[in-house]
Amino acid sequence: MSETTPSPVRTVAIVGNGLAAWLIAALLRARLPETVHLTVIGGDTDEPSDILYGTVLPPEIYNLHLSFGLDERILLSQSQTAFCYGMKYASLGTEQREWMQAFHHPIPPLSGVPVGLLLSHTNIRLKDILISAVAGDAGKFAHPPQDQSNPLSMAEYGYIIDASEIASLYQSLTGPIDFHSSKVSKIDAEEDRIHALHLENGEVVSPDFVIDASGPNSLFNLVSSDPSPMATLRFERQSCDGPDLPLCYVEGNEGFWKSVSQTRSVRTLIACGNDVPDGFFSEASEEISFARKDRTPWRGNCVSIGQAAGPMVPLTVAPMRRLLRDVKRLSEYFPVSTDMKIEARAYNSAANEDHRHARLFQTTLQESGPSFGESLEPPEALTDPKLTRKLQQYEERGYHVAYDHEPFDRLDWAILHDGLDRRPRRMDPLAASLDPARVRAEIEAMRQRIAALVSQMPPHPLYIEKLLGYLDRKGGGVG
Amino acid sequence: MGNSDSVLDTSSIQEVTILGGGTAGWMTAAALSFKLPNLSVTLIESDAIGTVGVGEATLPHIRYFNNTIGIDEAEFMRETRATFKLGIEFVDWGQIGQSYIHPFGEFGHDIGSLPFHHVWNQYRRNGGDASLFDFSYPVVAARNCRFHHPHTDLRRIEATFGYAYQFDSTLYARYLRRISEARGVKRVEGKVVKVDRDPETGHIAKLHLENGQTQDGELFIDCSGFRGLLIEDTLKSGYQNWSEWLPCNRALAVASETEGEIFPYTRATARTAGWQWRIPLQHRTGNGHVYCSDFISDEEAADQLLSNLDGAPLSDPRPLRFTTGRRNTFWQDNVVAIGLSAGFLEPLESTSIHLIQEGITALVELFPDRHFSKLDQDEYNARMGLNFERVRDFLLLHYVATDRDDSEMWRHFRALKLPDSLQDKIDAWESRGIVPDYEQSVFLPPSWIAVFAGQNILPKSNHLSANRFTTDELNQNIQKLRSVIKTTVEAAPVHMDYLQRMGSGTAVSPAN
Repeated sequence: MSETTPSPVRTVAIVGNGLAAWLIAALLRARLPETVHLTVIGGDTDEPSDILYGTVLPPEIYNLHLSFGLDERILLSQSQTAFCYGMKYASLGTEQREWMQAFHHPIPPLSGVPVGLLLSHTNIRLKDILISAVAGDAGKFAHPPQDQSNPLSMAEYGYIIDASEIASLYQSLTGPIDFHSSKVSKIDAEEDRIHALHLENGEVVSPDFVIDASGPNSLFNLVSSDPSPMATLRFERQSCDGPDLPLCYVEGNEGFWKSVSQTRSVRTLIACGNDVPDGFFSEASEEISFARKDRTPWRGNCVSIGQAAGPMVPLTVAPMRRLLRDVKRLSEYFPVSTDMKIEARAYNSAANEDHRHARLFQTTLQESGPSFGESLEPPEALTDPKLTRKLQQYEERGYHVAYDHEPFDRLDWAILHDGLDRRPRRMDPLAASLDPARVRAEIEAMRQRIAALVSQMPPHPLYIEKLLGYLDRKGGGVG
Repeated sequence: MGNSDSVLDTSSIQEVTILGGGTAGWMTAAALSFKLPNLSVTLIESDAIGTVGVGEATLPHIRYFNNTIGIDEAEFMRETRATFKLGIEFVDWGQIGQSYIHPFGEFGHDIGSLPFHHVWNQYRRNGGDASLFDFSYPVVAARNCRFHHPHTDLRRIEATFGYAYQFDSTLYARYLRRISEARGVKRVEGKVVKVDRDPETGHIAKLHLENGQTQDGELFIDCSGFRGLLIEDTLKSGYQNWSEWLPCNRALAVASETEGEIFPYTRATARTAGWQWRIPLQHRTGNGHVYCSDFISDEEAADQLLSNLDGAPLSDPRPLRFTTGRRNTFWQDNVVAIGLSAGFLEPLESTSIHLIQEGITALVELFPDRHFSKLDQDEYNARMGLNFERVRDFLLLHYVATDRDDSEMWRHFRALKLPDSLQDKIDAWESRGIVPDYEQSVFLPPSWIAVFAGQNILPKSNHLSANRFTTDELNQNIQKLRSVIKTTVEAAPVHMDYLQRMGSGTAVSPAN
């Protein structure tokens, strides 16, 4: 390809019409100067493959929303969003185990020793001393207070959403932007550089920079003849009256897993695996097929974000978390000129690690229980030496190996290990050096404090009702 | 699984032997005696051997270490004649005549979600004349010889920094010895002359001392200095020589009288064949010249050092020789090397004591049992290897981010092909201010920004988000911040007054 003289990036095409596309559009529109022209190119319907992001927005969305002017009051008033303390898993891992993969701040050590290591002194499980896990399980919710002496201040929370509704909200909040209600039908590209996108309606767009947010069956399928293994996921959206538990419930079964979550007006059911039983869904359900293939996220003048960089199913919050990290990173590494090799290198180096580490977490969960049939994660994730190191170290002595660019932190992993009933082979000497009776008493007191507090918290639906009423009276325009 | 009251079973290690006193040895002894109080800890050192007295300047992480072992700050500072430290001043690195302070803290305040360095970069490229360092509270405070503890209200500019200490490491070791012995650590005076290994496992089994005593042990911590009496002489770990990147191999150290104000920062001045440190303590100033013997003779190096002291020398310069690098394995069999026995990186960024601390922290977290699991060793070695390598790259940045070509050493660095990992970071910054965003390292983005900006590697483009601000908006923001920092620093206490007020000052003659 002939080298062209670098020039400033003036025109950007965002391909997709779903959650990822409108999230990056809203964020970039708020952050970039108006001299950069943004165009969103998508079909005339929303993006059904958004279901692959799941229905849970993790806590880190809060600040990202604020950065483009979306505060919680607007989110609640202009969508049917509910609160979420995490994912609840049942029948994954050891038989009959249940746990909340809760959103929670790191727990301060006891006598200088990480609390996770001290649980070997007790019969108490980690989930019993995480207030967001206990409250979520009990169907309770309240905002964390500022007062750090209150155990509830340790809770983090996210949201249960309906992706198409949130995509529309993002779209409505996006400033001046061109929208082409048509899909890309053909790409003119030379080597890795896209010169033109031909749309189904006959229009041709020639952007300096392309952001592929089109989901798992991404733009690359138009230019790649390389066949990929396919997978499917089935889902159904049902209307409902009001919110339910502040969590997304996931259950493992032989041959498939299923999840249920509920906003204030929509219940979403998802099932994935080889043997989803007949009758689980009504005729209104939909099916998504997608190519199971990871791609180099940024090639030439095109970057793929979220599912477009490599599909993941929403067994955990990994796909959404990965999208948020992609979006945030892209806004930081956004190219200034058409020579974007350096940005691409820096972006790929970090994003590849993000993706790889998200897969470690998801793979650990997926492989813990009944077989869902086809492997939903690439087989190489199972033998990734980074995963081996993490698991071996934890199983040996409860030590958490940490890497750069991990979407799931130490506490996430500790909760997962505890949920899967993994116990270290030997007690860590730090934990062993403490008086077991005192440790037991302190952790039991912690458990009791949390249980007592949760018993006084309001049920999630009631809390939302009161909150919306309050916001309405304050002029929040909830209706 | 049941409750585990009986976990202190026969597989638990009961005895640890530390070979070598000094900073590494006594820091390790103190930490183990606090964190694992059931252990029996013995430290063998010889008054005849003496210590290198590694590093007198520290990083903010040392405060965490001191807190962990229950040290009272005022007492510690009195005992070690310590001063506060807000950063390191680098003189003549980017160009002769230039200087900047690498602060322990952030630059400015983010505007919206845009990191401040992008705001400054836009301002600079629009013709603004302010240095990035005008927007660092700790830098302005350090230049004005002011100090106070960080404010607890994190929204205030007086909260945007961390701090460390400059102390007499020999006194620190002595102080830690007292603390350790009070907690039951046994000190044995003696020099190791022979080491026995277990014929089956190859593990170290017994140390023979010159006076005929012997010391058995289960786990041995090698704090014996450069030589690595156990890790190298006995276990033959091997050494990765990093002279290719960091060729300095000698140092001369000398204390001098303190004259004038005592500044809360360390200074590192680039010389023709290395660099010179200046560390102001309460009672004297520590100085040293780190140099490469390929480019300067020992006599010339001594002349350069002595002719650039602020006060009269208190002794003749003491020579040190070293090879930059690290052991192939920091932990092998039943020996863990901590301190100079683990490796050496020149103390340009005050990492010597920090790497000791990292080694101790990793040891405590991965403390073995009698089975000496390979997993513990592998994890420790991987973790410490990454620490050393990332510090190495950061140190190398100081030598290559320069316009200097006025001596053979500087020309050597200009011709050097950098490791890809470092070259990528420089390219990303130079393009438009992208900074490394890894988390597993002591030097995080503000440190990289400080060295880049301080040594004239500046972004060639703006972050597009910064273009959203008008020139007026930028100017107002910048001027306001500069003014707040200036006013706040002017109201801050003078460093030594503050130190005296908190009861940490010592009235001593310079000769003490």
